[in-house]
Amino acid sequence: MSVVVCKELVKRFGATVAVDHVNVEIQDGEFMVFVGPSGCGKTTTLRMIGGLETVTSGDIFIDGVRVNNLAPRHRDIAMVFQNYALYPHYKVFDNIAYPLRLRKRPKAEIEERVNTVARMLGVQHLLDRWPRQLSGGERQRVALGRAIVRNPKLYLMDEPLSNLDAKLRVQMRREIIHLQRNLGTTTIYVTHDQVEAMTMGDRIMVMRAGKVQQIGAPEVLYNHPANLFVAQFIGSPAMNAFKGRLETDDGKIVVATEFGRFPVGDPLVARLKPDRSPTLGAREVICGIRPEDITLDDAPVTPASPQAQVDLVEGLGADAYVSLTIGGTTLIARTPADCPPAENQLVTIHLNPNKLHLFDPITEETLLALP
Amino acid sequence: MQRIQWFKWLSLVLYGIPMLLVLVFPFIVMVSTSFKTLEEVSQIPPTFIPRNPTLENYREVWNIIPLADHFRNSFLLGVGETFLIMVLGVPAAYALARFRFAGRQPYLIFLLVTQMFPAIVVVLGVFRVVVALGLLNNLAVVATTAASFSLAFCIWLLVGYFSAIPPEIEEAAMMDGDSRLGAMIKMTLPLSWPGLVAVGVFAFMDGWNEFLFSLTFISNDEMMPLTVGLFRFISRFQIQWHHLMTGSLLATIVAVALFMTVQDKLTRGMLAISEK
Repeated sequence: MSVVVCKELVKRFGATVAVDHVNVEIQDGEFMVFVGPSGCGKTTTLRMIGGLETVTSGDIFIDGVRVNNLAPRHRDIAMVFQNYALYPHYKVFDNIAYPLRLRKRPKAEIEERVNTVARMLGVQHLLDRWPRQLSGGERQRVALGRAIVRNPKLYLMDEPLSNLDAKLRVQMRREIIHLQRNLGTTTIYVTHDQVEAMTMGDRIMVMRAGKVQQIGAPEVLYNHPANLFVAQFIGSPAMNAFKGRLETDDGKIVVATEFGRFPVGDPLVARLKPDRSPTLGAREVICGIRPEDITLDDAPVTPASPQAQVDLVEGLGADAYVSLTIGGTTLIARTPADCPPAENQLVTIHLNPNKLHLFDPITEETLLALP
Repeated sequence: MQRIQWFKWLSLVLYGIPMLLVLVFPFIVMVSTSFKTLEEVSQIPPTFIPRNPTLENYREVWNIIPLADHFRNSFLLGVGETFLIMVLGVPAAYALARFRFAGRQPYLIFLLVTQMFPAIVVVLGVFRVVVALGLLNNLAVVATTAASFSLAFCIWLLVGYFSAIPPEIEEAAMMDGDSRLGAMIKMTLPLSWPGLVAVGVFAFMDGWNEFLFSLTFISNDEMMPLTVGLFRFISRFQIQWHHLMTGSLLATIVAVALFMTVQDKLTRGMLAISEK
């Protein structure tokens, strides 16, 4: 178990900056997820922590020790790879036993530990097989077994589930969560799948183009995204975003958009960052709203209420996603599936005034302070 | 299905069998000549099956030239070249396959360019160096010179084999506690076994068949490999065809026998890997 600290971490490949001044501290026993679109530098950051990539500048500390120039084998880290990276010329038993053999453990201990781990992962009947004889899920279990058979300080997992089919992925996701909770070992998990990130991580670090966008617990990222990128990357379907202006109506702050004026809830007004206070005058913003924070009404409340046309209804069983067009903007709303509106119907939309997200149109940073 | 059968037979008759005859013809001549007398060899029209088959040639060849020495020397050249190629070529190819460094691409092209010089172009220069160093009649010098010519090709072959092994396997081994050298020896080398075997066989054959440098650097009978030893049956005025063919046949048989003994082991190794 251990604490990992990255300070001003930079990795350049020639002229391209893959990792750009990353600062992150991973706590003892924490399950940290690095998430972002492909090419955002998350895997490179992970590989630098593992020692498989050299560091261009900055420092990595594991338990307070600077490990920049330490070979992978001296860092006491176990890693699980996307393509499993099992040793094709070793049987399953020898694959799992490999890290222990390198450490010259006694034979009886190796036997016992491999069997324990194999039972834990449900692969004890496969110990005598070759990796090529295993299915994808079985291979992934063996790869996990090889990682947990010794007690390393840290686990690194590089998209370990992305080669599995959807159903198996959900199952293995749960197993990895259980495993990590039981072992209590600090884990860094890289994925491009925000659902994996949200469900697995104690905390999530969102990256884009080598830069850290936000680090926080899943619910913080979901409810208080630091910028428009995080807002739209986390959550499915993505957060709706449209242009607007903060204006004052009878002393109340509203967002004026091309399709209507929507009140901004008092809790949000209180969180508006002081230097960006709209009281000095109207201010351009990008306004965000999550699909579940839009409610639809059959009948207009007032003649002035914003009306949208229903383009498409996608039922998912419990919920339905409703695509709406309103004044040239497309919005997605999430409604209970029992009474979805009909396609082409006109509906009135209400945006939850306390769930609006406001971003600067140029920097795309949030205008709201954390509560 | 019928049609495919028919086509198979036709292609075998039209192409396969003539091709086989062309390839096998020299060997048939070699075998047949080794049982003929010199008079019968020069007869016109030539005979395929010796009229008076004789084993005399085998006895004579054994007595005229130090055949055992020649075999030993050829074998040493083969082993020596294989050893040099493996020791020098494997690390070079590994570095070229695994690391991206400045000058990697030009270096690979440079290796290829060295293959375009015929050895005969440099043999005189090398000869003067060898004389200056007092290293004539030294098999190690011949093996080294020959290896320096086939090394580039072997490195190219090995780079291809090493590149085909996913680097993650080595990385996994390094995370598990191996050094890079350990990961290379325990992961990449066994997994590229077919490639190593192919290169090893190539290097051995190259040494076994070495002629030009042996001819130039070796004048001592006991130090000559088979190729040069047999070459002495060709003189300015006469070619001792019966002796030449007998010696060649023996050289071929020994080489084939050598490979048959190791073949079982080699193919078993290849099978184990290719089933992955």
